[in-house]
Amino acid sequence: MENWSYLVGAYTIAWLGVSLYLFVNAKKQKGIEERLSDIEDLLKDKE
Amino acid sequence: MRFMGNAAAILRKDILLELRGRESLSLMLFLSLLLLVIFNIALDLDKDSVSSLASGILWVVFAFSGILGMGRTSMAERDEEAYLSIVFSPASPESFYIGKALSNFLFLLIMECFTMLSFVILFDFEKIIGLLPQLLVPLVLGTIGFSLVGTLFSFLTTASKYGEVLLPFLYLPVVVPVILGGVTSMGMVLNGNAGGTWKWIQMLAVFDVLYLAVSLLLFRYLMED
Amino acid sequence: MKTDRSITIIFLFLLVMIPLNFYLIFMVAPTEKVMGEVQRIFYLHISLAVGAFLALTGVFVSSILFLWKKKFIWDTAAYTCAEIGVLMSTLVLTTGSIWARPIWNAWWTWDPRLLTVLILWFIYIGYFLLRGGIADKFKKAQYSAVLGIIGYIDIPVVRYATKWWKSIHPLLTQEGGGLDPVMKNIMFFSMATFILLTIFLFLFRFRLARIEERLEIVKKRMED
Repeated sequence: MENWSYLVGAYTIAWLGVSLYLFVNAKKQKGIEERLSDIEDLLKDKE
Repeated sequence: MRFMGNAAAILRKDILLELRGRESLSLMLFLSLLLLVIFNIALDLDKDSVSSLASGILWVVFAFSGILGMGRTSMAERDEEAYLSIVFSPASPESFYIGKALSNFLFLLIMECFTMLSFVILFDFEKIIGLLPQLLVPLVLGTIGFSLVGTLFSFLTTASKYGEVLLPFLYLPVVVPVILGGVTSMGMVLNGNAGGTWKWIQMLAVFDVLYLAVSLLLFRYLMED
Repeated sequence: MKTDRSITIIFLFLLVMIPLNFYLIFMVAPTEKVMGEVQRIFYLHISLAVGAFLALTGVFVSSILFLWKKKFIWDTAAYTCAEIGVLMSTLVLTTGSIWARPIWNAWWTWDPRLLTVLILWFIYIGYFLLRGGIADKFKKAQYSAVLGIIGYIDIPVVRYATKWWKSIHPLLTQEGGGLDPVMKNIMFFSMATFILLTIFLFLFRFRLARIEERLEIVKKRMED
């Protein structure tokens, strides 16, 4: 019975790790894309 | 022939600088002495335990004092922008690398002999002196490995704003095989099992040849701008 | 964009494969006799190791290509691969440790394989430490490519050295005997899933890196 907790623990940690990595990067990407479009708009206004 | 001549010129320059008081060698010697004292305090070595721990302690000291020395010599090259004169000189980057590796090898070997001598005196462990001929092969091969990797990596770290502080982080994981081979084969010799060392000596030799080849291939990329 | 489309396609594949992988591992795969349920960690652990190996090979190849072609896209590929390699090898170490606790009765042993993975983990952490300290873009790419090549070459050397080293000491028992064919097939499926996952993570991170670079360029234009 105790063995199950190790099994579940290992899968949880691994997939949590991968998801966290994806989540952080997705958030970062969203932020950058927003800033990018802001700056590109500004550049267009200047021209 | 020109190649070795250039390398020898670099080696001579480093020895001269050392004699004129760059003090990287004396710092290395001082650190190794200090580390031996720390080891004695930390491990409370006595006559029985010293024999089994000797080779491990020695190689840890070699590794750490070596990092200090090699980091210092290449930072000096950067700070004085001395390497620029190499970049613009007809000497090839490879001969510069070999020269630096030779000088690092020489200084490391001096430090190692000094450390072993101090070890003999501080821990009353005269066995080392009698076994010196057998210890010499793994010692020299290991030191070649140390200086090949150390020379290359100390130039890697010169580009970083962290400088030589970064060196142990890059250098120690990569020289793990050298430390392993050195510690094991020296331990075998010191504990009367010299027959088992051949495998490790081969491993050290393979490491040296491999890293000589790779470093010669890659070093020129560190000199490009 | 081409990358966008391949990311979507791989994502759709993964959407099917990951649940299927879970189903196969937990429902179909037979329970191992000696180790019991914990043995199911193997499907995850070994697949992660394959993913890590793939990513680190990516660092090696991209580093060589950068030194050769001097195109910054290869530098981007190299550090993206290195990041995924670090992530994967961290997970390899963690899952291995969790497996070892009930089986070997210790979180960690100095087994050659464990030591090799730990050393390579240190090397690639060092890779990022080196990158973090170099301001010049070309130098950063050039120097970290050199480290990427050296670090990768070191892995087999460490592997052999640690194997010999441990052969002096009593060896830890490894999983013995032939693998059940069902287990074997599930293992292959799991590996395939994680290889695809690694590629997905790579493309995802690579796209982000390209966008980051575009932001830098646009920012510079802004300042002018």
